[in-house]
Amino acid sequence: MKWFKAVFSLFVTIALVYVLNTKIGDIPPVGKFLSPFRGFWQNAESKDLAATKQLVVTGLQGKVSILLDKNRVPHIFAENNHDLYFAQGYYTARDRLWQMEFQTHAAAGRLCEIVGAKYLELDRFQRRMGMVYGAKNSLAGMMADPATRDMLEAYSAGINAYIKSLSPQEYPLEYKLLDYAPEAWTPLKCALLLKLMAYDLAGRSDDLRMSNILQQYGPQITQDLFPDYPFRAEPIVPEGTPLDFTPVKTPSVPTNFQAQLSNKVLEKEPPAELGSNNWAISGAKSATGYPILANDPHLQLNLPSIWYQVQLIGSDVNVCGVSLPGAPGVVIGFNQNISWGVTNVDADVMDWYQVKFKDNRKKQYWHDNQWKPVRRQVEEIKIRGQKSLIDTVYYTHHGPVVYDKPEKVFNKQTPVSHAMRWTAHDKSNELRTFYLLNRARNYQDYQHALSFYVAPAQNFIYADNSQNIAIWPNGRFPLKWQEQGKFILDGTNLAHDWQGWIPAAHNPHVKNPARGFVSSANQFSAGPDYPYYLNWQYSSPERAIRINQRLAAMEKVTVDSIQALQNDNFNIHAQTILPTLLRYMRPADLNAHQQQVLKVMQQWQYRNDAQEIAPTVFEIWWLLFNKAIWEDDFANTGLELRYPSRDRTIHLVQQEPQSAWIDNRNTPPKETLADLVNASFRATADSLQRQLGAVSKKWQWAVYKSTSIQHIANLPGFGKQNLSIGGGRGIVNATSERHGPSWRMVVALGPQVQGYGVYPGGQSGNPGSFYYDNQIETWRLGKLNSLVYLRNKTDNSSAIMATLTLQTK
Amino acid sequence: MRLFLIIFIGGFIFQLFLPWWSLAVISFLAALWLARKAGSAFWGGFLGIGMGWLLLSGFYHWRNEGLLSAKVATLFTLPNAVILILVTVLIGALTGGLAALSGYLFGKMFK
Repeated sequence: MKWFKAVFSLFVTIALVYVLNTKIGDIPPVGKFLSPFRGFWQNAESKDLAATKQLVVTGLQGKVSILLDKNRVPHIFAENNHDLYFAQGYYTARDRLWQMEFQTHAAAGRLCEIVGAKYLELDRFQRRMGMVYGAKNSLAGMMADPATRDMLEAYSAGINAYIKSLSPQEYPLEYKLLDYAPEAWTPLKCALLLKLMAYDLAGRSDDLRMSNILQQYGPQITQDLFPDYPFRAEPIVPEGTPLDFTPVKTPSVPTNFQAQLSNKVLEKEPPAELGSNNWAISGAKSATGYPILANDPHLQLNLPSIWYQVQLIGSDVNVCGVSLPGAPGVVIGFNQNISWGVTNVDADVMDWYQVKFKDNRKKQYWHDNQWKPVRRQVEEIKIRGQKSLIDTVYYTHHGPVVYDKPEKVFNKQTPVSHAMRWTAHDKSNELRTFYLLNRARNYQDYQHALSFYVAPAQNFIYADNSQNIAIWPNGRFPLKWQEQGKFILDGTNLAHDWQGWIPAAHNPHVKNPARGFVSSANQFSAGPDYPYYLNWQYSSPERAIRINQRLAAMEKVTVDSIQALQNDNFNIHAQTILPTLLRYMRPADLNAHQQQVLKVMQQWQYRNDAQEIAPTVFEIWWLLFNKAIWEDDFANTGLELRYPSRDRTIHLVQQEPQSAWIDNRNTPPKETLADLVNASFRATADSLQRQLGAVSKKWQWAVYKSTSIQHIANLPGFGKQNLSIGGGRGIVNATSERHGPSWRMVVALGPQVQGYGVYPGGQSGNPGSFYYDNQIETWRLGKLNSLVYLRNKTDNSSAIMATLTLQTK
Repeated sequence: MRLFLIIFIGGFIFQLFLPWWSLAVISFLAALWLARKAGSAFWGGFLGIGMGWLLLSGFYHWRNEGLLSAKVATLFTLPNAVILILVTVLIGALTGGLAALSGYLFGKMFK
């Protein structure tokens, strides 16, 4: 009996230890995770940093000093480029390793390896989108250049040196939660990270929807409702800017191709509101007599932040700004002489080709009057705790066939049996652009750097201390015929292929314009006088209009006035259309509550300030009004369609109030504009009342909008909720529910450059660190931190809190 | 008392250098050697390991001003960090106690 009790007790003990050591579903191994010796408690950082620390790291050629300022921004001093990028990799990994790995796993379609079958559709989509294919091609481009090859290899070696130094109890928290270990870093992962950005910024296309509309309504209506240039435009390169090149011949438009209708409902696409602002004012407009540059990229707001501040000081470079954890160099920033920034260009660089396979075996496809072989790529999607999924992706010379069976389609914009042609799939070396920009001393250096850049196309803004400002909407743009790629293209017709490239020097650009400033907010790159076709639609121009209005009016501009403009909450869209809507209102038909809401709208000064109630009402009112006009014509028709743009809708409302489109074709009576305006207003007031009760603080814009920053794996408790901040989509302060200025930077050029910046997060990716989210409040208030920019190791020593020295024995 | 001290100190040292479940090994061995009664074996392990986990987690919690424990508590839908510490200590203590009890029972077989 004794032995039975002993064995049973031991069995229970071992079973308990086993269960506590095993991940069950989403729950981490509880014993391992809760152990104060090994688990998450180890990640609960102390507030104080050791003032000096020496680390022995294998792989360095010389000595590296990393000086940390009060925001834990590393200022990395190295004797050569190898050590510089090695140290950047090492230290970035120290702060953000898990983020770097998780994001590159997501880009590569490898999330199932970590988390299990939950992300199968996402992973499969990434494989079929050709993310790894594109990354491998870009990698080839980056490795072909000695400078960028060395940069990548040193950066990777630095990350790996850090990973090797970790014992399991030192792993970042998320590794412990998800119960896995970091794997070795490779240069391919740097390329994958850049592709992830490319997808977020240049992965949208409307070709499927447009083709369906063309089928449904015909060319005349399609051209009328979806024109190739808006009524109200504010192109980045102003109309009338003289061309400094002779345009090459553009391909002629081939005979019409009517794409097959597709009734697939698609699921994943990058959000439309990813955009950004940037501008630069000339010395003549500036209080200091030197240019000032500003940039705020708008991305999804997450923790850890997509950006990581750094300063790199090497033998031939001294650059400061933000980097992308996972890629070497500085992506947005400044050095002693110049500053640059980026906003997204909505050029059409993603086209869809309808593929004609020979038969169901899909071994050949028809192109240029012959059968061509299909390349098969077998993708193995490893799934934690399960058998791998094997997926075959078919490649044509256009690119991957993203979905080739009538199966569940993942991306709302991905047609069936269509191949994707995307500039982000091409061999490229964007890294070289940043390498050169980091070291640029003048306009020629900047222009030269830009010539290497392929995707995602960006409006590169520039200012230097020699009194130059400039902007180049820049990337590799296909040389297209008018409207090529607006609709699905004929994958069998050679004339539908991309016929060539716009020469880099012919990309739209403007330098030192008479008006004294340059700017971009994702609007049209250039006016109708630009000789090439880039796209038929860009972002709605409200932000651009507001920015340009303010910059034109400003004189003796200072950093403070630039900062104020970045935080501007003025609603151009409201200013444009609200008076029109109010004119159609019939107050006599409203009840007491609705009248109260109407009064709010009538008194509104068009500012999306945090405590205002009108923005909440306006946001919903416009949504419902817009829907009321277009839903019967462009939704619920069984096909994937889209509404006409805001610009087109405004024109309809203000210039074509009798238009037949206003009538709801599904109802017998003929609706008028006044009917729609009033009905949507009443519905808005009532809906908000149902949701929030009587008009109160709950109706305030910041409360309703409830801007939040989430952990990148959406872990509850690891984000920041309900931030009180104004702004919104189409506002210069572009802060919406989950998106906003992910970095705000202002750089004052001059004999001593001075930078200012902030991002809604913190340098450390460790949720247990005091530097995980410490900059959020500064950002929320619209303030900027003064950026420490060191010229040498003893410069500004009061700003430095700690020094880390790295060397190989 | 001796058992408690051996498990507390020995356990602490073991866990500093070995995987977390080494706490079970030390509890088992110590009780195998020293325990005279089932009850005192269990409590020796329970309190010996529990004390170590309480002191260390408490220290980290304090040093970090409760920053991380509050977040992890939310993640596990616990009301606050104190409950999280309680759960932490209970897990360790229970494992230690059971291991010690097993050690005692095995020891009894050979005595």
